[in-house]
Amino acid sequence: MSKFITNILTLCFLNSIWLSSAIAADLNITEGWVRAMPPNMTRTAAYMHIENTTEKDITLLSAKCDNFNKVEIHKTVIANDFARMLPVEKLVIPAQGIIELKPKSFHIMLLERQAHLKEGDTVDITLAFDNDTSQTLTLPVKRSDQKMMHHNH
Amino acid sequence: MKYKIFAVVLIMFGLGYLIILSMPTQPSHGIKGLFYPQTKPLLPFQLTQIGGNFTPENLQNHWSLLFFGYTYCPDICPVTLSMLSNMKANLSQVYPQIAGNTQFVFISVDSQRDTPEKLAEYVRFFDNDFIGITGSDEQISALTRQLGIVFLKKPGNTKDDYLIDHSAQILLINPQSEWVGVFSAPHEAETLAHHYAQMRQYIAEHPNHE
Repeated sequence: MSKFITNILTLCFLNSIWLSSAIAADLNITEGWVRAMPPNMTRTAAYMHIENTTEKDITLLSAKCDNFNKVEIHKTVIANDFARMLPVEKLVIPAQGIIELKPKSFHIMLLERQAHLKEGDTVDITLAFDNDTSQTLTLPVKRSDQKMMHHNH
Repeated sequence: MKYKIFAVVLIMFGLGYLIILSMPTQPSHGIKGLFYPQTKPLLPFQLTQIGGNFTPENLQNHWSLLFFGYTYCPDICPVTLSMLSNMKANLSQVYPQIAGNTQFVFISVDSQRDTPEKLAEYVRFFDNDFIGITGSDEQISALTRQLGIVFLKKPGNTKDDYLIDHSAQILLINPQSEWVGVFSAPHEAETLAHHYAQMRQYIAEHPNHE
């Protein structure tokens, strides 16, 4: 009986290695960060670039984060000086394509924060994709996107 | 219900456009967004900041840059306030002669959740000198109506869980509390600093407005 359990565990273990390596090869997630907010604010946003290296579209279905009770995917759209927040049900990462989650565009909205996050902290966010896989990222909390500002120089 | 919301949005946009259309046409200086020398004196309004009221008098003796939003806004508001903080730093460096008497005012259109205390803590996170003001729906509308600012509450799952779509332009008010210009979104710190300096320089060189 115990051998049976060991076998199952081994299988699970191998399976998870196989899955995570498959994901690592399929999706390349970079430039991730979470916006630092004032201590009295309970909402913020996470940003990242998601690159799909496969020949098939992959869809981001949902995101989860232990530091926040609710996580949603949104897009900010500014047209004619009016800023709207549109909920995004599913975010398709096109085959061989890249989707940039960035300020004033797609972002992962984090709501109902449990404890204050300050600059230098990290946040774990788990993304679930439609190929039955998920990926957990550890993102730094930063005051503003200094890297992007650099590009403007 | 959907049609009702649609109609309200349509009317709000319509009013917004009417205000824009009623603004004087672009004067000969060709500076984008600058109405001067045609200005629009602000009608009375009374909002609240930490420690007191905020009325047109608080706009006097300063040049003011106004931005409208709310503290529960997770993307565009913190992005714009960070940008304004960078813009202020850029002004001090590149245009020190005009940086000194410029004040930055964030007006919350979220009367239900934002308070002057909460706003003060919020704006000071981005810059110690920023001013945060708000008021009742009527008090907020008294200011937004005359500036073509629109905002629309979108119901969430619970009573306190809503988002607000809102105007994203930054407005320039002169020390006589007259509306003289507008900076359209999206904004970038250095471009905005330069654009603002351009407006200020033109106005300084053409003081015959009085």
